[in-house]
Amino acid sequence: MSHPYQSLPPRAFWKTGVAELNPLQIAGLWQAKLQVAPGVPIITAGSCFAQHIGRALAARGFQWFDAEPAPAWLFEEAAADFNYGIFSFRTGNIYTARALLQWLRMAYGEMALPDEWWSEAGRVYDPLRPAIEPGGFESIEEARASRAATLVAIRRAVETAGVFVFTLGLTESWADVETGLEYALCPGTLAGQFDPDRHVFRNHRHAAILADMEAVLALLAAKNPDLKVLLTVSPVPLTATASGEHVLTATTRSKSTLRAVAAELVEDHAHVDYFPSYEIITHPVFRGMFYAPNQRQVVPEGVEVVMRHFFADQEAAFGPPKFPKARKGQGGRSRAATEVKCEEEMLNAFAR
Amino acid sequence: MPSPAEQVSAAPLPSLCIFGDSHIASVKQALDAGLLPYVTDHLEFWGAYGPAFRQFEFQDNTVLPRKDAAEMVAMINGLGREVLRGDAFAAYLFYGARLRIADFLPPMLATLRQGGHLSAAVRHRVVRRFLEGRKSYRIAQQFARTNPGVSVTFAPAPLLTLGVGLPEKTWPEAEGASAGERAEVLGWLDAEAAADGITLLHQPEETIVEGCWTDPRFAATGPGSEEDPVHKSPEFAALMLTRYRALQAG
Repeated sequence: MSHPYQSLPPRAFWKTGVAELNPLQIAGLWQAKLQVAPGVPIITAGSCFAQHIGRALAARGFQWFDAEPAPAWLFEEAAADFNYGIFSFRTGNIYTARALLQWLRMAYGEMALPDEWWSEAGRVYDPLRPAIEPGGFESIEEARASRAATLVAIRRAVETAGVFVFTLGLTESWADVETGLEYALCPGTLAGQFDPDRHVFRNHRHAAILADMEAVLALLAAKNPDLKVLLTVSPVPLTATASGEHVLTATTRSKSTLRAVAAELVEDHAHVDYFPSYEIITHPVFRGMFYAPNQRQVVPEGVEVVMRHFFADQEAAFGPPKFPKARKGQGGRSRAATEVKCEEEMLNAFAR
Repeated sequence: MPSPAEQVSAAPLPSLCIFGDSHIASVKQALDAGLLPYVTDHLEFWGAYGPAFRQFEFQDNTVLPRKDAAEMVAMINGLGREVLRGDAFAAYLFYGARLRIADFLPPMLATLRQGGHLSAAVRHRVVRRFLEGRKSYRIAQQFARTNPGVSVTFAPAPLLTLGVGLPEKTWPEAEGASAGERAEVLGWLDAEAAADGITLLHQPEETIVEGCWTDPRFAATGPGSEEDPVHKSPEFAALMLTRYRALQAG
């Protein structure tokens, strides 16, 4: 008697795929259907963990596309202080599907730009990204101009990219009860004033998140039909919950919902894939070894293992990456000629 | 229109030292060719070029050349001024001196012209980094701070010359920038320098083409200059000194 399980590979069985292996030997966790190839512009957004993915891709020579790069002369540390180079555009963390949808709709004029601004100690904060500018903006006009630049960058990113890596982070959020505008953070925590009559807690449910993500995918497809979407779920637990539950169970509720949405999106869309960084970090098989002692932050070794899986599974599916040949620069000759000229000029001018 | 040398000058300025790197050669050439406006009865050059320009130390209101630069300073000055004190002249014009506007203006224009925005806090940081990243600017700061009656002006090295040589990096997005866009970015520099007591002397608008290049009419002249987008002609230096003269005359 034959049955479908007879021909399955070892990874399909717990015994051969997990139990008999050292956790660090487990392989094939991702059956990649989307190729992330060198030379294809990749954009990243989402919650904290997406930062690691963008950085790791860039470090390995992949073309992470920064659509809102730090201006010249704002070097690495200062640029990071001002949230340049963290994601492909300067939105800061985008924790929820609704927040991503808001940003995209604003960028493409499908949603009126909210004109609500928070103030603290004479400085102005953008409720959609209150941590973007350390110390806030000096005026509403400046905050508005800065946000406009980010919306330009979002459009450039969407229309340039071949792959959009989005990390789903949270289901919990705060919104304005009248306008429905979802904030990046609870008002009053980093800036602004919390108003219990105006600010409402939302713990997004599966159906709502799925609908928001479908709307995101539709908008992206309309603006860039070739854009592929790679989803991940952040393995970083909630800092705090306003749901009334314990933060541990609230984390499970949140992450499980996001994980389920991601799975359905992958099943329903050929151009959407899911990379299991969440499982690599959080699964009991890995015994929490990739978490810092606070059991929340992911240690660099964990990120390294995640990215090792990423590249190994890409290679298993599509073969070794083919990096475009670097073009030879022509600047050296000019620089040398300039130096020579410089000295000759001085000698001639001041010869006595 | 009379040449700068033929123009009737106002009262001469007090003593002036032009301090710089290889860019001061074009000023000297302009002087020797009679292209400069009458500026002062007492004009001196002081500086060094190439790697020797890095061999300056600043102590007690004085620029001191290390051994490797001393000989070059002697040649350029020609009057035996071995060190440069901040109170030795009534006015100092830092000319070129490794502060290259080509490293600042085009990338900023490129950012702005692609829809980018710099907050006041970011502008402050990038401008300070650009200015204070150069030892020559820090010397100018000290001169202005230590010698309140002394005039300190800084003329950054100009934009690269269009079509000359092969620049290591170009900013196509900055091409076509308007005078207003340039003025906005240069205004950031002016404001920070003014806070240091330093006046910046930018290249004249009429020397700029295609938004972010120096007009090839002002390209460096002489043997070996065909591939040199950095240095400029004596005529360019004359225009700069004419602007300086007008600035000082108020």
